[in-house]
Amino acid sequence: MHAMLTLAELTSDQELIRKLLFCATLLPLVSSIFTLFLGTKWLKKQTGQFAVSAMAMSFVCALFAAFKFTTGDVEPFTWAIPWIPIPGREAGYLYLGLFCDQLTVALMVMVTLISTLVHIYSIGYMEGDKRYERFFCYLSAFTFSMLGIVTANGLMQLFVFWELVGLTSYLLIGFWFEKKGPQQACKKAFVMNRVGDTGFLIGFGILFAQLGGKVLLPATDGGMFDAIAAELGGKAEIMANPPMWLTIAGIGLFFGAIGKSAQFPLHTWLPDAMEGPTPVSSIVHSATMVAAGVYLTARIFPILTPAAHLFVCIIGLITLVMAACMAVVMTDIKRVLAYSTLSQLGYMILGVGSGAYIFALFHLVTHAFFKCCLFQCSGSVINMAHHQQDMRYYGGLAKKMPLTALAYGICTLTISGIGFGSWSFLSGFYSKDGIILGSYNYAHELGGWGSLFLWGPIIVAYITPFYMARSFALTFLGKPRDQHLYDHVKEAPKTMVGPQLVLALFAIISVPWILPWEHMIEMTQQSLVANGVTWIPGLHELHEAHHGIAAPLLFGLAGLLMIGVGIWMYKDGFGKAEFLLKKVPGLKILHTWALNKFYFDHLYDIFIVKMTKCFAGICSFIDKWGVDGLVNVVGLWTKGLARFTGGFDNKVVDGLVNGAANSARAGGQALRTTQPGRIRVYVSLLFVGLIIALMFALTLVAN
Amino acid sequence: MTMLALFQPGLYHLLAVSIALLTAGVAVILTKRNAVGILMGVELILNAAGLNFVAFNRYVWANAVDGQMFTLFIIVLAAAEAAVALAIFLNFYNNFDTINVDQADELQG
Amino acid sequence: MFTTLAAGTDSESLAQVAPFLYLIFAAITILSAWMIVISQNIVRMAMYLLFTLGGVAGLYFLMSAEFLAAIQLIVYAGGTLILIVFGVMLTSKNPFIRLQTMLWERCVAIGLGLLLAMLMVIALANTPIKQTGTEAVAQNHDIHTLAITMLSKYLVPFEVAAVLLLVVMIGAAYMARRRA
Repeated sequence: MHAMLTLAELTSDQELIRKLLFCATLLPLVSSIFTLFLGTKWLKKQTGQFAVSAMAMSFVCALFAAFKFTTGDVEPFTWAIPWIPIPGREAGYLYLGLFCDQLTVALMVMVTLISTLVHIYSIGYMEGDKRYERFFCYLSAFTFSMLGIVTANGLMQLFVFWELVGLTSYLLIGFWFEKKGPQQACKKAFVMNRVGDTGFLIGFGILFAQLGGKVLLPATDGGMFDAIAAELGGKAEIMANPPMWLTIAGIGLFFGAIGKSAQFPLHTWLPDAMEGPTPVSSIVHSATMVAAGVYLTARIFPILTPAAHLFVCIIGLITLVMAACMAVVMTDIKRVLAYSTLSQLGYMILGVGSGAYIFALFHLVTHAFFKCCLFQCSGSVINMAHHQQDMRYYGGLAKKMPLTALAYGICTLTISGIGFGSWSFLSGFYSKDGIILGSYNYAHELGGWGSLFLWGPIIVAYITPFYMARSFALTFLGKPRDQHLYDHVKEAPKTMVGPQLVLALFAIISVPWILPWEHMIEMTQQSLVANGVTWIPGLHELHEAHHGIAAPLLFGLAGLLMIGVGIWMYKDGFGKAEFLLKKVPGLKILHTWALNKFYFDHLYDIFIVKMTKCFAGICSFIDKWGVDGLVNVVGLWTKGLARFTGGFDNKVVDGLVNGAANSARAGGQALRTTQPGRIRVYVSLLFVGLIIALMFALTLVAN
Repeated sequence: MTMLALFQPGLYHLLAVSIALLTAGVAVILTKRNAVGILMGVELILNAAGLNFVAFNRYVWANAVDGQMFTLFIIVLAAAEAAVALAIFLNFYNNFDTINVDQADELQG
Repeated sequence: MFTTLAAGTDSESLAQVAPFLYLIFAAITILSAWMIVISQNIVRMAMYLLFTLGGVAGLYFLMSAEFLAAIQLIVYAGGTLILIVFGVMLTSKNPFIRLQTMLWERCVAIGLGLLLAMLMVIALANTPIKQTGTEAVAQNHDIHTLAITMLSKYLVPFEVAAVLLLVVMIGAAYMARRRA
């Protein structure tokens, strides 16, 4: 007797988009299953091409859906079918379906495009690997999981794909599981994510306990948490009178995002995930896994209370600053990029927390392009340099790999947010600027110490160009520091350079031309005001003021300046930097501190691993002397009792049994004389028997 | 002529041969120590049985061929039995290096 | 009409030579069978067994079971006996080796055999048996009837025998294989 949910009829456009998104989501899964079962047998070296074509088809579907969505003025819609019946709940069913709004289509396009390019890149990068086919299987499954998160139509469905992302990332990071490093790294990533997922489940559980089966209903047209927010009186009401449990639930759900997006307490897995193949790093750091966390944070925005907002902002700020400092001192090229990713993710989380979530998502998309490109470039370099990842052995590679250097340079400029006044040709400028704008407003709202939320991102906006220029200069400029390595380097194959250039192109052109800047600000402002976020009274005016005075000085030109400084310092290797380290007091300590990743791994080792071990030791002690002692006493008692019963058993019961056995043995002894083991005796007895039977029959007949 | 009429084959003539065959078979089984010899005795007994079936079919119930059918199956089974028996003998010979059945008393009680 | 006539002629001509044939075949069979008992040489025993089987085949001919006689010769004399000869060759280092039993054992064997024969004769004498004529035999005992019966009434045993032969073939080959 479950009341079936009635959903609005879809228009023909919506129906078309639904089908397209459906295909786009399932194509990677199909490709994954195909490569899993047929890869090694049929496809062999064509597996890469097969997976790429499936992904490309998926991309075309997503692109067409996005095109239809933006040009056709289609309303966001939701679609669901009943999946698992739940007796006794008002929802009646768990639903399985698809939710589509601007965010969904934008992310679909971004994810499928980047995944396609990473697949193409992998053909070159993974060539000759002994599990070449299996890699594409995992990669496609990973993409499928992410697309599942993006199109998920409800918390339960999202959680399923959420965990699938965790699993596939585990498989991919540990792809070279014969080596010690990847083994540890994939375990670390998995465990860290489980910690975050525990938070997610707690948040989910609180929501379920407070709101019941409504939590399980499919998303309404406003998004996954819109109905829940409406139930509580809308975002405005939540902001005005926040219930305590909602704060905890929001933070709990956000903990899931902390795990996936590698935010402050759980960030250590992401740099270690470098142990996986570089295509994996490039997709994990851009389109899929870390994006999932930011996506979730943006989705739970409607139910975030002011306290939860503050929490999200603090986490974002800490990650942002900390990771940027670490990125400055790292010498491993992939680690520089990894900490850079952490820092940019901090920007995004801060953006969502401070209310500028549209910019945060915008930054997610732009960052995905340029970070994916940077990783692919670094992968090319590493691949060509015989897996030497340390920048101390690089230098002057621009002459050998001009196209890679070009792509890397463009992305360096983009991530630095270079711009002139309120205009730039690079997408990074707009997205980063939007986030800083949001945090400016938030800092203004909080006042006092809240200005940290403004100065943090601004300082990091200075650090970012510096460390990116550093890595660029160390790798591509100056004189080669390792002549042998330099001699062997050559431009990467086409399948690797091609995707890099395409991504660099997207880093330049993405979004400002697709979605106008002014329009975006308007959207943010409207949605925030409508949602009762009080700290953004007149975003538009602020934006004008901001850009009119501060921005050109602060970011655009400053970025250029810092790039100049970085290149000047590191063009000729580490000489100038080491000079500075010697001369400036205190810098050395800071350097060591940052180089050891702020001792987070040590900290976790001491406080979590050691304490767990200590606790285990105590438990073991109690077990041995307390529990075991008790058991031993009981055991002694039992032993005594057993002695007594044993005596009874031996004398009385066994006597009976033995008597029976003895008589049986005597009987057997007597009978075995008739079994001499001679075939003649047996046959004789057989015929004697026959004769007796015949005689008996004859007497019967005779009588 | 009367002598010949006496030997005009009938049921009892054939049964007499059958009895002789059976007796010979029993004697062979009981007097041979060679496993293959024992197998021959078994074959003799089987032949006696087959002869019986055919004879009864021929002289008592000539409306059907069931007796011949049974003999046919006896021949088939005898062939099968001989094959398996010889396989066993080969095994035995490989393990004990003899074909004397009196030495196959490992399982003696 | 033609068949009955032909059958009639056959049975008539057969009736004239039947006593001779019977005597010959019976003599061969019984003598060879007892020669197996007496003989101590396994190869000779195999030879006598061949004669016995041939004699039995002749008796089948005599009872107008021609198909059976042919099968007896082909399968028994041609197949099983060859198998036995192979067995003899494979299991004897010296095929002429003597494996003799003791005298008292032989006496027991002969005694048991004679006792059995005697009892059989008594049983036969005490059992009234109603015999039928030769006409039904001429009508029914052709190979056509045999085939029809085998593939209708005895179809299931026939199939089971086929399976049995397969099993025996595999089993025998498995058991007799060379072990590592």
